[in-house]
Amino acid sequence: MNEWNVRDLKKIRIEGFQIHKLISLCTDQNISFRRIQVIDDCSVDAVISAPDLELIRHFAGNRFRITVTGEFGLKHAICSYLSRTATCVGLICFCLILYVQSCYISEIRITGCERLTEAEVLAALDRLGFRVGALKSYDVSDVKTRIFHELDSITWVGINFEGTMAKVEILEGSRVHPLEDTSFPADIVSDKEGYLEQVIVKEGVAVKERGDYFASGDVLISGTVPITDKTYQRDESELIRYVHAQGTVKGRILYRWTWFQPRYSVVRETTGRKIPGMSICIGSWNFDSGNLIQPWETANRSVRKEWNFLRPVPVKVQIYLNEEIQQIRAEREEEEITTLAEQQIRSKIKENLPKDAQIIKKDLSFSKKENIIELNVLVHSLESVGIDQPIPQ
Amino acid sequence: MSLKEEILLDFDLRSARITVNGSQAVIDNVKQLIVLSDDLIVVNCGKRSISVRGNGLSITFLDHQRMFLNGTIEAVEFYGEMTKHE
Repeated sequence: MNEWNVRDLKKIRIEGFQIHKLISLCTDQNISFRRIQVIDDCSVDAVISAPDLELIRHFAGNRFRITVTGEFGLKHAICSYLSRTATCVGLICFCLILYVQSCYISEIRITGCERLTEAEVLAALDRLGFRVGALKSYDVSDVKTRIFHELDSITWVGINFEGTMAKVEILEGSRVHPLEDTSFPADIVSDKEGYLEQVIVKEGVAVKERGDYFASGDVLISGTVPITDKTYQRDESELIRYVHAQGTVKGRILYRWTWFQPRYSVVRETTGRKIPGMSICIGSWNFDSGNLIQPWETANRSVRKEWNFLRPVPVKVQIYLNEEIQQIRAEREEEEITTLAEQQIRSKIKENLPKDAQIIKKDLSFSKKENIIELNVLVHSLESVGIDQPIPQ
Repeated sequence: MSLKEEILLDFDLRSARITVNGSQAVIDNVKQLIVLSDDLIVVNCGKRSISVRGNGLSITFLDHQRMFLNGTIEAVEFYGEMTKHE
């Protein structure tokens, strides 16, 4: 029989003479016995149901001694656990803390960011009250509705919870262009100088054609539109209409940069002559054999063996080889010069040109002077030019 | 054995019946416990008595006139008058 029983059981010891008579009397009264173990002629161990104990004591009277030696069962187990007050309190506190911690958002994970950064999305969510430390019961549908007002470029947002982690998935739409104020008459003038490549007029009149040179401040699309009326004779001032010029103008802008690079470089070559040496460093005291023997003006030291100890005393020992070095001045290769120049060009383009610029052509020329090389770079870039300039009334 | 005999055997509440292997025994129709010790258990089943002899005997369960025994069983003996039926 399995000791672990839902019913309450008691293990008893019956002491006395002719115990079998007591057992027979009890079984006649439908009292069950389990694990009857004979200890000796006067002692028997048995397991009984807890409610039967009083009945057995009644039948035993003064002739037998009944001693309860153990208890089993669910009720006994629960009572024994409940009697440990500190354990119960600790368990309750643990469960409470676990529950309270599961009520808050511990992490927000953002996915789907393309042009927006995670920091921007988190800042927008924070303004709506959805942040780490907020309650999970926060109205998520309200956040999903209001975030579209915070971030214009979002077309869809999904918020799900995995435990205490909130997974926010966003889908960004196409680039949002700011609305242009066209309530006043204006020309489009150039902000750079170059050669016109493309003019697309939406409103206004194109002043220059493809291939024309324009300087900074030149009108490219005019907002002064002449009216041609063949039906009636009109005053000259009535034949002009002022509009807010709109259109796309692309021009070829030339960038000229000049750099200088050294013409010669120093090449170090070994002559083949070598001297071994040793250095010992104990704490701050240092001995180096190379300081005593220095036959060459320029040498290269290569460490062959090194021992470095910290304890018990900081000691560092090096065995090295001193090789005589000959420094030769040599003219730099064109390939090396070009590579370095290309790096500089890329860096300059990144700093100075707008992001939507398209590089059409790059010209690089070298000019060797006495000790330096002059580099002249000419970059042709296709860019959008033109800014609004109000027409004075 | 005919069906009648089998039913009579199973439902005879006064007959001494024991099912035993080398280490366990089940005794039915237990009316009274006569001897209880480590090496001898004798029970009264009404018509006859059954004695189980062995070593380390213990009663696993005793209820509703049914007794489960455990231990090394060496011998089983029947006592009492035999009726015409037996």
